[in-house]
Amino acid sequence: MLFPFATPVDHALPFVIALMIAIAMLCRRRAAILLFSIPLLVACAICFPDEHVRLLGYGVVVAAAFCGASFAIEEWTFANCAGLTLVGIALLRWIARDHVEIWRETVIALGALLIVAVIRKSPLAVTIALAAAFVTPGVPTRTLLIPFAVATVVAIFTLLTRPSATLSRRERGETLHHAHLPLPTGEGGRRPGEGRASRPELGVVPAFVMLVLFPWSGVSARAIPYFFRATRATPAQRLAPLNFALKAGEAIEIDVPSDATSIAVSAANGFRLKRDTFVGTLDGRPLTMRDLADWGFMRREQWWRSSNRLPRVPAGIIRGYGYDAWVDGAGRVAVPAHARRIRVVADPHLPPNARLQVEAFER
Amino acid sequence: MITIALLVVAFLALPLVVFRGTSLARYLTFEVATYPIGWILWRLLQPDDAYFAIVTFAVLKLAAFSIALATAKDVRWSAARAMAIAAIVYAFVIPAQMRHVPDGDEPFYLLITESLVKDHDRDLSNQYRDLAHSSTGRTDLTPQIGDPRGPHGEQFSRLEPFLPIVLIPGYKLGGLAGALATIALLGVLLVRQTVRLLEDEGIDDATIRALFPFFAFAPPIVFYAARIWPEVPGALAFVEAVRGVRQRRIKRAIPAMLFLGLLKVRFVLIDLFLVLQWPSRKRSTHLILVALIPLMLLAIITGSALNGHSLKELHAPNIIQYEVGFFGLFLDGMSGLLFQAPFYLLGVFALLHWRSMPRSFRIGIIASLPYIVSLVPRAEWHGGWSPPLRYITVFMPVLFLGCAAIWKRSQPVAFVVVAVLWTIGLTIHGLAFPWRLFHIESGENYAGEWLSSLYHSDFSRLFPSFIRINHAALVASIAFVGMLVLLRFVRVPQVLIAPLLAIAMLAGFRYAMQPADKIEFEDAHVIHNGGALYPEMYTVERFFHRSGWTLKAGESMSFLARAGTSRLEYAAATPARIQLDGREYRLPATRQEHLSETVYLTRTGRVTLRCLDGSASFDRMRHE
Repeated sequence: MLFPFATPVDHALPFVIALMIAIAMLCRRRAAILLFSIPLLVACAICFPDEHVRLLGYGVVVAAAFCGASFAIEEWTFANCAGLTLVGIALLRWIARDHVEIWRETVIALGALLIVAVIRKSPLAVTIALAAAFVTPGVPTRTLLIPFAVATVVAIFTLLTRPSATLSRRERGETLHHAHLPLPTGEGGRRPGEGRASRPELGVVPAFVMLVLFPWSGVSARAIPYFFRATRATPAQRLAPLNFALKAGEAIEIDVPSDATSIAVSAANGFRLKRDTFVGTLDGRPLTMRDLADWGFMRREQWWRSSNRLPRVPAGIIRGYGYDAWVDGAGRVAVPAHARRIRVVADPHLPPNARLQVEAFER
Repeated sequence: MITIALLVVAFLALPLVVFRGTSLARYLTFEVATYPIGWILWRLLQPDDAYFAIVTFAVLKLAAFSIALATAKDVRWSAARAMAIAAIVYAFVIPAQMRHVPDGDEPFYLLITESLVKDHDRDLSNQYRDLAHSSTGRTDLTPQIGDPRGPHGEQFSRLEPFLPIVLIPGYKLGGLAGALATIALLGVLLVRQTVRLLEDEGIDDATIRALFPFFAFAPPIVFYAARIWPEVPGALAFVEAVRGVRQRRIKRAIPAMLFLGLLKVRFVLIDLFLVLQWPSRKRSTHLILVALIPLMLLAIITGSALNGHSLKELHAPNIIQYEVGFFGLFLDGMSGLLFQAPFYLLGVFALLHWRSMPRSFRIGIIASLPYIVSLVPRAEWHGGWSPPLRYITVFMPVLFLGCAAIWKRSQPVAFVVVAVLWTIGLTIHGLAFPWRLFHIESGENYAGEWLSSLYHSDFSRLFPSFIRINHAALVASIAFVGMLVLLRFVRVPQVLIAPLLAIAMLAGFRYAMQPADKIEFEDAHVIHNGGALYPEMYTVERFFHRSGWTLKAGESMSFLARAGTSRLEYAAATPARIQLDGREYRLPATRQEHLSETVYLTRTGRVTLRCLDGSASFDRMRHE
């Protein structure tokens, strides 16, 4: 073991380094600069013992290298675009997972490469292909069509906006008139349309956002607002666990610890419940599925089928790494001021197998 | 919020100074994109120290601007524009540096200015009596060791009075901030004149644009550009003097040399060797003029031509001290170029291509020689209580010229990337925590201390120290000489640098996690449960003392150590009894000297040294 830290992302660091080498190879003359992502990754591993900061450090380095490559790649050929896309997909989908289903991942990668094939080769093409692969959960199987659908839309759009399709009759005549002449070459000896100066800036921000969170890409793909809500939930915020699961109509009274400010609640078997569904009360105040979500709704297997969304104030904790990462559906509800005892009641109209879960008080 | 708003305006202004057309549009697009990225990172990290986060963001944006400046095609560039960019940046460096009170010699320079403005004299007695009303913000000031006293009990300062005179207008306008702004103004002029120096020597605009941020916004200049030291004004005078000599323009050179000599009496040595390179028949007259006027003025003002200095300072004590100071200036972890301003090592490599270097570079280096030769054997070659590289900051314009010439010649991209990354870290650290620019001469540096306290293992031994000489210093010295020789004849493939650096970092990490052969008990990796640093932190010239950690009965410290026999070095006024690794030892009392006691550890790992009885100051434990 090289480092004293032991998350699956840390274990995958050699693979990440290999991907950084692949990026550098795409940049050819500027490879020497891009390779500095390797010592920076090592520096993050050494200097940041806090897991969140360290993994985010990896994310920043990887995202910066990827976006840097958008500026450093000299010629945007299919091979370069495809290479960069595959590296991005590997970072977002293949790292730190318990189980990678090869056939699903192959189909998704092929879909992403199809997008790159049908669109003008540029950093933006890579970003679009990456985004399509990023939001495709792969479960259920029909979601594998997402990248292909994107490729179809992009192909139609490209066809409609191709310069030759919009030429006026007179311009077409002129073109035909000069047809015997060699096609004028653009910058770098490329033909018009092929070699137009790319604008990496357009694709940089979304690519950066996707990649900076690669250690938890599953969460960012399915619920990116989680990272930007007021305070990120951590296990340390939680006081002693309560772990009550209330059936329809059940009620419970709980003593409130002196340092508690809120309570974490979630639902069990509630991933089909609509957002405005009334699920119970907390000291008479109504609780709906906007305040909480099904505990496991964000798992890759359930997310597509679920009607839930991220709770208004999420109290879920990140579980897992890479594309398998997910956040439990706990929502944070404020405890009434100066309350010594609170009463939680599950709505009597809850489905028979659904439960209102009272997880823990929070500081 | 006002600071953030001003930063946004400043970062919008920077591209407007230099970029045009497509380059401007592209940079502004990038500029706008940085804010959502910054916001995203802010929310993701939720930093505890908002100021540190803002400084980091600002420095990274400045680095991005510098990269764009180096690579953009549609650019309007001139020395004046470089000056404008520096002025914008230094406007933010002043408040950043003001987070820490003036330190080292700074408050004394300011006290002299205050005395000149308020009392029209140099007597600081009343200033020391009424420190509460001083702009220094320091109520703990007392006269420095070596400060002369007048015949009627006046308290003078040993510092030269010319810098305080220069500060007077600024001080009258804005107190401390005004004094700092005066230095910053001189810093801005320094940037302009350095760019002019490079232009004079035929360095092309693209090279200057690519490298000038290393000079203007990197250590050591950026840390002295808004602090009250004579180094930045001295560098300005030096660059003007070199240009004057190079262009054979006496009217430019003589005032600059006089300014230089008046700032600090030691700078007269530089003047002498500048005049000696003067291609004129009147050389001896100029020599006398340039050397004598500052000394005479000093004699008139302070009563001593050498202002408390002695010609004995030029006497070489022994060759080892030369070696220590010489390699220390280049390689020391706390005050050497390698760790405090790595980019300037290119200027050192330029010495290997002496004949092909620009004439100004050669003039400047020759002029600096007597000063360097007089500096390196001194115990205070590292600058004492000051920001790093104090004594050689004055030569940075010429070293920078050497760097530019080397860059133009061989474009060592990979080395420069390493320098960029390290420099960004140094700049963020120095601007966010200006008080950390001052470090006790303990043989450690902040990087080593930080890692040591993180892992409670001795990382400081990885950094060469020539203050408390360690193995790394010996290895680094040999490697440095070897590299100088090797790189003269062999060109290392650029793509190998980053992977080799990563491997070196990994190897260093694994090595540092092992117990050290020598444990210095005052170091950051030792977990102290009670006790005190000896000698205390702010002891004058602390590096002359054997330092350590004092424990009284009941206090302890724990550290990683190797199994087997070790020698424990200590000093104790009375006999003491200690327990180490479960065994008891009786330590006899020492007099002035340190004694050593043989101790035995049964296992490698963390051990605890506890003082059971008496009191002792523990210096180090050396494994045998």
